[in-house]
Amino acid sequence: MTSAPRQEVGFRHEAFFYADRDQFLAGTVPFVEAGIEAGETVLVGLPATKRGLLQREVDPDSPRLHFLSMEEAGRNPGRLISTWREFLHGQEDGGGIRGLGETIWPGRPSAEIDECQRHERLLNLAFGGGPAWTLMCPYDASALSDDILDAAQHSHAETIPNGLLEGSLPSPPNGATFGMDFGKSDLRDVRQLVAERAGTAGLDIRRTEDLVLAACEVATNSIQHGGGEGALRIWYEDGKLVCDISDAGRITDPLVGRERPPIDRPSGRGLWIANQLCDLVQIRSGETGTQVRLQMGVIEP
Amino acid sequence: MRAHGCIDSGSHLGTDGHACWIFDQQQEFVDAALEYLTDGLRAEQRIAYVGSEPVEEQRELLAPLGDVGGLIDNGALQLFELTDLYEVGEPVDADVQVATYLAAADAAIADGYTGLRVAAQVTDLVAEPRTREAHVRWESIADRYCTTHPLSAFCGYQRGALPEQLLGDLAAVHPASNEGHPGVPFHLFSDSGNVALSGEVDFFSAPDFGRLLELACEGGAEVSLDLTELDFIDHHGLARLAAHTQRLSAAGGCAVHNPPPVVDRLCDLLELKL
Repeated sequence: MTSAPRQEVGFRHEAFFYADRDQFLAGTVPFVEAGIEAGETVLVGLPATKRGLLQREVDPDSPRLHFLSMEEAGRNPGRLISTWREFLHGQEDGGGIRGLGETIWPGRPSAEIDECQRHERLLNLAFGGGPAWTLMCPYDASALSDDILDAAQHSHAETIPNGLLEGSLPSPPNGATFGMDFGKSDLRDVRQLVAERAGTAGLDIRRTEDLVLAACEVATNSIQHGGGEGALRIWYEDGKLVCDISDAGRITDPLVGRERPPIDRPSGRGLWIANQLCDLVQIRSGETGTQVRLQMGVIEP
Repeated sequence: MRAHGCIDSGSHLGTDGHACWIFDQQQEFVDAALEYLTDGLRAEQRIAYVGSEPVEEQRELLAPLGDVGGLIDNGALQLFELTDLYEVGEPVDADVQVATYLAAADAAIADGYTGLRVAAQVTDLVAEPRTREAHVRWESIADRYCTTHPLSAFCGYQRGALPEQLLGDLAAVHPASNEGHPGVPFHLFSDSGNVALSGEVDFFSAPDFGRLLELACEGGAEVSLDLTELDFIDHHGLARLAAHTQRLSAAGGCAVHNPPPVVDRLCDLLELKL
């Protein structure tokens, strides 16, 4: 038996490489205008300079065109799937949607780029098989490395991504790392240690509270689902406080924490909350256990 | 705000205080009760001691107060055996107890005192499992009267005689207790016409929190919950809180005051309404 070739319907995820300003506009302006002309609603998520370029070339007052700051919305790319999902839900009665999303730009720290690359692959999993819409992802080919551009080619072509939770996170840098093992009686100590390190690093009250809550939610997951215990390590690195929580459990859903949990489902909220509150969340899980790393900048980026 | 949280002595609880003192040895309770009652004498309150032991023994226990005989004779000190005030072994009738204590507080005022301060070692009242739920509720009700009447109380429970779960519940419905973490992470108590929540609620305390919230914050009349002193709540706790306020919205309502900003953010994230 042979199977028929797959029809290209549903979610289309396209990488678009540009070498300069003119190429950027030559690719993105027609994409946006074609969507508006077709009666679609268009959501554009770009970093500030690119947003400015595009806004001057299209009708910024079109009610069908929405812009968002990718520095903000995509600061933690773990939030973006639910952003696109909500956009999709909001347009269910309309004439279709399309999106433009540039998450990987030159100069982003490598940990963020790694998460953006995982996000790009997860998009296929999250939206493949669902309603038809197109997301175009611009890449600055003049400034990004060949490795990143190769990965982008691959991530936009694959239909069934796997190994999305695999890999290891770099060891903490040499220097002061604080830590503790925790079990079910120790959540209060976990919160105290995180709050104390956040205070020393100079996070304000809001960022401290958010990080304490996120760390507690993740540590609770370790106790609930990760074998009843876990280990917390916490350190300061490049203007950020990093909380690393590991346990012996295994996560199998690569989309964990990326979709808003249904109101009637009691579980799956901890990592979603962490993604909403932290500047970056990195999740790795395999045979040896699960590692969740939370980053919070000392100052809001 | 009333004295609340974790305490390590019977002193400085104020004239509207209500504390839970969990002890292993009888003398530990007596020592703290002496501190508590001494403050009462200083504040010109009538002081009272309630315990399972005969009154003659109570006189000896309280000897450090000074001239116990003289204090009793002039009405500054009253001693009661548990059976004088309660039907030991039966679930407490809160209405009867409220009437008894308010009459005693009124009498103290009529006799020229500033109020009534009671140290009560009431372990035997909750020895029977069937008395326990009503008793925790009674403590919560009594707490409200400590804020509206010239009445304060220092309640002793012996650890070895009672299950940890019950001790946790009892401590949680007093504003102050000597059991810190991890036994009693939060307190639910009356303050300025509100129910105040202090301390921390996480995954492990959320079930107790939900249960005691229902008990301390009943529907029927309008209830207000003040979160000023809430130090931490995770999404498990917040879900319990939201479920409770939603349930009460049909029965008089439950207004939530002064949520910490992180609570507002978490509500937004989870689309929860308080």
